[in-house]
Formats: sequence, C-alpha cells, structure tokens
Amino acid sequence: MSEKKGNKAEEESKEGFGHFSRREFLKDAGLVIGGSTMVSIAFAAETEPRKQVKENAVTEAPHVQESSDTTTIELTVNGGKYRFMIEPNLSLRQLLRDEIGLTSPKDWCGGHGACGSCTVIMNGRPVLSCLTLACECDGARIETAEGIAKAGHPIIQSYIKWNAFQCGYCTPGFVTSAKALLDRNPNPTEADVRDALGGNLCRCGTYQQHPKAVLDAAEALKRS
Amino acid sequence: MPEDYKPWTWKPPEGFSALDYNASRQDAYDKVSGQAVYTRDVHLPGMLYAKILTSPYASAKIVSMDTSKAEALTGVRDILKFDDPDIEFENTTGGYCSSQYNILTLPSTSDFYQHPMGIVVVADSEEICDSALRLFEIEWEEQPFILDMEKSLKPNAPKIMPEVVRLNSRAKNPNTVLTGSTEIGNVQKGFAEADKVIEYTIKRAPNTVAGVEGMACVAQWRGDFLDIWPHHASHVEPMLSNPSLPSVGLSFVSLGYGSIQADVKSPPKNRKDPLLPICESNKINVTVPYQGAWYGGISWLGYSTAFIRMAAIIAKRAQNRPVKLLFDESHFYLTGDDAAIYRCKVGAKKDGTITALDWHVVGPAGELHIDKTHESTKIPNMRNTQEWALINHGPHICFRHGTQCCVPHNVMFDRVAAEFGLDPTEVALKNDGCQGHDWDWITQYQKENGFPQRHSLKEVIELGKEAIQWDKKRHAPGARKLKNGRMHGLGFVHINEWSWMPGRHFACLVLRDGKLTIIGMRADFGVDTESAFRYCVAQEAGLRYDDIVLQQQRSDANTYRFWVPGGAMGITRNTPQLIVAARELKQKIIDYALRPPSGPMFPGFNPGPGQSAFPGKKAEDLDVKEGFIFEKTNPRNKKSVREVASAFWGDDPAIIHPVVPDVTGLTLNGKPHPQMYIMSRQAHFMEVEVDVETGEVIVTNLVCVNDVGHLFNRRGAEAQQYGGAIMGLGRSATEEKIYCPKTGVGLNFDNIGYHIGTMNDYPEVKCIINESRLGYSSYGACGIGEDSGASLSGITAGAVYNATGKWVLDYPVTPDKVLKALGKI
Repeated sequence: MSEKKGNKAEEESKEGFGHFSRREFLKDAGLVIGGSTMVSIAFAAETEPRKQVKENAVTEAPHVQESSDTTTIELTVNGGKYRFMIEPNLSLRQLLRDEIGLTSPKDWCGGHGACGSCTVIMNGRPVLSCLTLACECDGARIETAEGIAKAGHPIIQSYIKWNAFQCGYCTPGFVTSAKALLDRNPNPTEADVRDALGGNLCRCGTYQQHPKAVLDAAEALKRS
Repeated sequence: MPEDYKPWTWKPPEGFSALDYNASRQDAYDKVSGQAVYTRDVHLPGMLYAKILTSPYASAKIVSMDTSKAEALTGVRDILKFDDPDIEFENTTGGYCSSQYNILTLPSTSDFYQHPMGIVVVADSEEICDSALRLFEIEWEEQPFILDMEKSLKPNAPKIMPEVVRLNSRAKNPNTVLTGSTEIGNVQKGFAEADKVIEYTIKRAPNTVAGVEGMACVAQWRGDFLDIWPHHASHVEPMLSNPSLPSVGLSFVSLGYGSIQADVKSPPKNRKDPLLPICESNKINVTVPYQGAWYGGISWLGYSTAFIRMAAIIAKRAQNRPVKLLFDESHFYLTGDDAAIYRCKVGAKKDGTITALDWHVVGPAGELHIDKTHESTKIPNMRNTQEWALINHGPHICFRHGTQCCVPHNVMFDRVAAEFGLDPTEVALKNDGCQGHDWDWITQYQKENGFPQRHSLKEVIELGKEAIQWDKKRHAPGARKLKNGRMHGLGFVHINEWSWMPGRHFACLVLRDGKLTIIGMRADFGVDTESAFRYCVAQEAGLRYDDIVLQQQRSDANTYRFWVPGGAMGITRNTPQLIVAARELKQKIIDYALRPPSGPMFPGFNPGPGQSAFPGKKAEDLDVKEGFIFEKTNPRNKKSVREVASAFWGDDPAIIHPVVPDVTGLTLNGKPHPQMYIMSRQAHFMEVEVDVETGEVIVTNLVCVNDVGHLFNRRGAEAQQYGGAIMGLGRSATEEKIYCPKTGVGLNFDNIGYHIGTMNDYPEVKCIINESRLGYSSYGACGIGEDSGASLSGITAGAVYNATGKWVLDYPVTPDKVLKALGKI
C-alpha cells in the first residue's frame, strides 16, 4: 500500500513543461502561484467566455493595471481561440475557470498538484492546470472535459456506462487523463490505464470502474 | 393509511428487479463532461469573495490586531471582526457540533491549529482576500495546549480552551467533557463464567473527512429575500429563520436530529439572547448545487451552518451584492474521527461463546462504543466506560459513522478466535443475535412481525467465504510463506447493517403532461439514490423511468425535503413516503381514466363530451404500466397516461405529497412492542501479503458482502461497497493526521502528506449483495451507505495477525508498526 501517488507529476518531471524544466517551473511557481491578482485584461474570444468582450476591446479589471509584468498570450481552448493579457502569476486553471468560465478544472488539493482534479490536455499531454502557468501556454492547444464531451469522444459515454463517478468533482480530471492516454495509446492494457490515472485521487473510491470505462472507450474508438 | 404501518411487509410490484448499470442517471452527463456546477463554481454578477483568518497556533489568543494595511488594499470591501456588532452574537453560536461542548464560531482565541477565527475579509477576488489576510498584523499570545486525551483527563492538567462551553455539568476535571459507564447484564458474572479472560489495548489515530470540494457558501439578498447556495448536506432554512433554536442544536436541527436539542438544558452562558432570525422562513430560497464528496462531515455541520449565517450577514453588509464565503481545502483536515484508546477485557468459552466484555474508552463518541455490538450479538453482559476530554485537535465526531464501534467489535472476534484456535467466522456466528437474544428468539420475532425467517449473518458469511475461498486458503497464524517471500494472511470483519430506520421526510410528486417530477431537496454527493427514487416511483405508479426526474437542488420555500444527503439513509428513510405517494398517484391516474374530464382534453384526443377514457370500466378492470393505462383483460385497449391525465390538470391536478407515520404495529408475544431489532448483516473478507522486510501490507483480494434487505439500485449499492471499502481500508492502514507534539501544528494537512488511497493501492473489490428482506424500510430494505467504510476500518489487524502471528492493534496499521511488531525495528 505504500505505492506513491502522483505518477503523472513524476512523468511530467521527465519531460518538462514546454520550455521549462519541472525544477525551474516549480521554483518559479512557488513564488507566484496563489499570488495576489489574476488576469487583468481579456481581449478576444471566439467561443463564449464569461466576460463577453468584443474583438480587440480592452477591459481592465478594477485593481490591476497593465505593466511591464503583464504579457499577452494566445491559445486554443476546446477549439476556440483566445487572446489574453495576463499577469505572470496566473495559473492555467485560473485562466480556464475565471476568465473563460469553464467549470471542469477543479481544485481539490489547493493548487499543490496532488489530486489531479484540474488535469487538462495541453498539446496532447495531460498537465495539472493548477501548476501550469498561463504564461507558458502561449500558442498552446488546450482540451478540457467540456471540449472532449462536445466533440463526442466515446470516453464520456463509457464513463457514464460504467458509473465511473459518484460526486463527480474529480471526474473531469480522470476523463482528461484517460483521453490523453487513448490519444497516445489506442490499445492500452489495464496496467497502462492504472499507470496513466494513478495520480488522480477520488474520495468516493470509484477507482475500479475507471479501467473498465477506459478500455471500453478504446474498443469504441476502434469500432468508430 | 393502514393502522399498522409496516413498510417491510410491502411487496414490490411484479417484475421489480434492481436498477442496473444500463439505466440512465440524471446527473451523469453533467458530471462526466465537467459541466456540473458545484457550490464553488457558482458565479454571480458582481460577486464578492470572503475568507476567514485561521490560527497558525494550536492555542493562542489575539492580543492586538492592526488591519489598517489590509483595509487600504485595493479591492478590499469589508473586514468583519469578532467584536463587530453585526456578528457579535454569532461569536457565541454553536460552531462545531458536539453533544458535550460548544466551540465558538468566530472566536478571538484559537482552540486548534487552523481554527477559523473571528476575522473575515470581503474583497473583489479570492486572491485579494488572501493578500489582505497576509497584511494583518496580529499579536498572538500562545496558550497551553494538549494533544493527548489521557493527559487532558488528569485533574492537574492545565485548563485548555477556557472559553469553550462545557455542557456536562458533572465533569469535574478541567478539561473533561464526559465520563460515564453503561452496563448491560452482569459483567462480573459473565467473566466468572468464561474459560478465559483476554485483555488487550487498541489505539486509533485521528483521521479526516478529506472532502474534495472546499467548503463554500454563496449568499445574496434581494431586498428582504435571501438566496443561499450552500455547500452543505443540510437544510439551512431553520437556522436562518428560527430565533428560538438553541445554538448548539442548530446543526442537529438542520440535520433532522431535532430531539438532540433536548440535551441542551440551557443556552451557553455567554450567548446573548435573543438569537435573531437572519431572515423570515418564507423569504429564504435555498439552492443546493452538486456537492463534492464530503463523507461523514457531520463534525463540520455545526460550523457550516453557522457560516451560512455568516455568509448571509456579509451579503447584507455588502449592499445586496452576492458574496461567496470560501474555506481552504486544508480545512477539511480539522475534522473527522479523533484518536481513541480502547482498553478491552473479554471473557469467552472455549467454543467461542463470549460471556462478557468490558471496554474502557478514552476518546470522543457520538454513541456508545458497544452500541453496534449490543445490536448485533447475543452477548449478555457488556460494560462501556468512557472518558472524553477536550484536546486541541479540532472538532472530531465521526467520519462515516460507526468506526468507533466497528473497530473494537471486530478486534474482539479476532482475539477470541485466536485465543482458542477458532475460525473467526465461526466465532461470529456463535455469538450472533440481537440485544442479547439468540437467533432462535429472533426467528420468533421475525415470524410474529411479518419478516421472512432468515439468518442474515450465516448467508453473508457463506457468500463471502465462497468468493474468497476462505476454507481453502485459511491457515494458522504465520504459517504460509509465499514464493515471493511475503507472508499470506486472511482478514474478516462483520457487523450489522445500519441506516435501517424508515423516515418521515417527504417529497412531492407532480404529474403533468405525462411527465413526473419528484420534488425533494437534498444534497447530491453522487450516491445515486435519486435513480432508486425514480425507479421505485416508476414501478409503483406505472410510469416510465425515463419520464421521471428528481428536482433536488431546490424546493420553493424549502417545503419538500429528503433526508440528507440521501446516501447512508437515503433509501430507507425516503422510499416509504415515495412509495405511498406513487401508489396514491396510480389510483389517481386510474380515477382519471374512469371519469369524464370537465376541462379541455389533450390536443388530438377527444372522447367526446361527458365520456371517460375507459367508458363502462371499473377501477379493478384497469392497470397502469410504462406510462399506459390499459384494460387488464384486453391490454390492447390502452391509452397513455399523458393523454388521459393532462385533461385534469386544470381541475384536479395530480400533486401528491402524503405524510407517512412512524413505524407501527410491531408485537412480541402478541402484545405491542416498540423494539426494532437489527437483523441484517455485512461481512467482508480480505487477503493480504505482508512483506516482512519492509512491513508493507499489500491487499491482493477483497470481498464485500452486504445484506441490503431489498436491492433498489445495483450500481448505487456496489458503489457504496467498493467506495466504502477504499475509505475503510484507508482508515485501517494508511490515513492518519499527524500533529507536531511540540507545537500542536498539523504536519500533513494536505493531499500530499495524508495518504488517501489511489487506483494503484487496492485491487478490485468483489461486491456481493444479499437480499434477506430483514430491513424495516420498503420491501424489507436496510442501508448500506456508511456501513462498509466503517466496518472495514478494523480489518487490517486480523489479516496481519493471520499472516505474521503478531498483533498490531494500533490503527492505521502502517509498515513501521508491522516491523516493530516483528521485532525488526
């Protein structure tokens, strides 16, 4: 029973986060994650953001001024293109939730990267959005559970079929981890699934349903 | 309503088989796609955020405080302090629920590490709240603290938590909140009859609820009306509107434990009466969004109810802007099950018959530690003495209620079996019974009160033994070494099922346009009782399952409410009223079919003026199934419920909300008898490998057998089995809150240091359901929600003993303790 959780985090540490190494990333993140302010300016959105802003319109948050610290990023989220001016301490999870209005990247562990509930897919790889700085995501392609569902990926129906959720709070993190696995390995074994999802925590204890759901989705993908 | 109200004697409709995995689940898509909105996700225009200062000390008093820098921070809108007139009386309302003491809600003195203090910051964002809290300049005066309850019990211990109201006036020592002794039978006589008296000590470390969604509450006023979005398993309206509720009872009242108010003889001395209503009851609207798991959070309830009041007050000051009051995730580590020490003495005969037990417990309790053993055995002589003192651990009542009973119960059977070289399953059966009565006596009770004559424990043990191949694999302690060098062991626990009591909570059924809505507010933790509710109503009323929805997130004026959260006692407490309502609805549908409607008919169907849908037929000629009314002798003569019932919506709408009574009609020897003996049982079996070099205990096989009486929803019940097993094994082997002995600071209050099981920690649980119909609820159903988690919390010690021949009765049974028992460290 002593097997360590956080396999996904360890896996990421080997490959680094974009152009940051994990060590550099954590060093920086420790200084800024959970800092004082968030996104200052949102520019354009082609989907439906919480803040309805017009193309090229600039909306300043009341307590934040544009400064030399802010940076502009463009990214694709669930197929929609976004451009934001952000402060360097903003996490990807905050960006997705507070600015774009998505609800699937959840916060269980308080932004410590310990639960997997905020997992999203970034350029094809699962990342913990609470430990990923938004400023790293310039040019990135992000997928969340909402986007996976909208695209009609069979992992959604498999999770429903196998009742691989209870309260559902951690479920989007499992779904994104599972989808990322299927993207890179269409023929996973149960061990592959357990390895890929081993860093996601579920307090309801639904663990044994997840391999069934993921393997079922893999079969559905082959049939499609 | 029949004079004798016996839901267990009801027969399920013909063709009723348990709901399976292929049935729709109304919350499924929202949750899996990430679109489900939880309280923390609620976002309203103009919303402000509020956070509470927490104590960095185990016990300390705020001597002085300068908040000027925080007040000057851009985006800070309000700061409330414990002496603010708006919240002064809130300081004294019951914070953490306990039957024995009352921790203040918004204090200036902390009683435990991370105790939320009476300082609340309101700002434009959560991040600004955090920044403002860091700008507070506070002078703390540290005070004595005690983490060990045995030290706290001593007469010369320093008085800790002086401002905490002790409710037990009999307590003599400075920190003692409860001492007591309960004896059933004659314990001394029982020990004299024993062939051997065994003595041992069990320890349990504190563990936590570790809920997944940090506590939050959103409040907004619309003039005199108040809208609340709580993160809560409870009904919030009473505590907001009722000025007369004793503060300590608030949480219990909101849970439905109204009677516990009676324990509060008088309001706490420092409470300033009257406790004013926050809002009048008919002006409060509550919406309960989806809820992140929060199992066993009863020890949080007092706090959360008080803070719902707090959110309402903040919102009022915020000039009707919505306010989201937030807790950090780490606050979950303030609650759960607390540490306990059990000094046990058990007398038994060589055949395994237990003649007496005497348990002295140092620790908190929501009930007697012998309760479940008394409920589920024929052991005639029992004594439970208890000492409970304050310690600076924070509020701990329970986490999946019952662990405090299940651990000593199952260790006792393991120890007796080991002492006489017996199979623990045989010892369990040898002592099975109810409240001192043996199973022959119970069989007579079953006959007299309409139960089948079945022996639940025998059935669940047989099922479990077969599934795990108990007889083939069982061996003497420490006798089987595997090829990989590890030692093989088997563990077994059993106890009664609980959550068996039918309730009187009620929902409302509304049939309109052929679709049925069940209105009943509850907090959805995902335990899927709503599917069971939809299914049993569909079966009883003759409607299609997919034509029924449960409107559970709100009920206007909070009129219709389910037992909350609807898991542990959801099936048992709620289905009787639903079934009575569904049967009433079915009669109404048939009545519609026989009567000519006076209003306009549903478009496309017009039998003509003054004509009923089934002219010339009588009620006994008709039946309703799958949304159609049909003639029994000629099923082709059928009409949809929609076309028939819709015509009556204007004159005689189908809105059904019957009130059911308490259970009546039990007898014994032909005379009225109030006692309800709990006859259904659960048994769980575990196979482990113990690495004697590392002390690691690897679970390789797990079988859970629960007798649910009657099964409504297979996937829901199984989820409670495997989910409960993961939680129970966590408490049994990995989960432990650790405090620094020198500072009292929690050292692992996060998901990194506190070991919640992962997908790779446990094997797949084999789930077996037994249906004995020995429960007291509908069709003989009993509960399952809390049971597996609580009962499995004691299983590891027996398995390790079978593997190694060494007892480790210090929970959680971690590798270091195993190595110590093996003499390797």
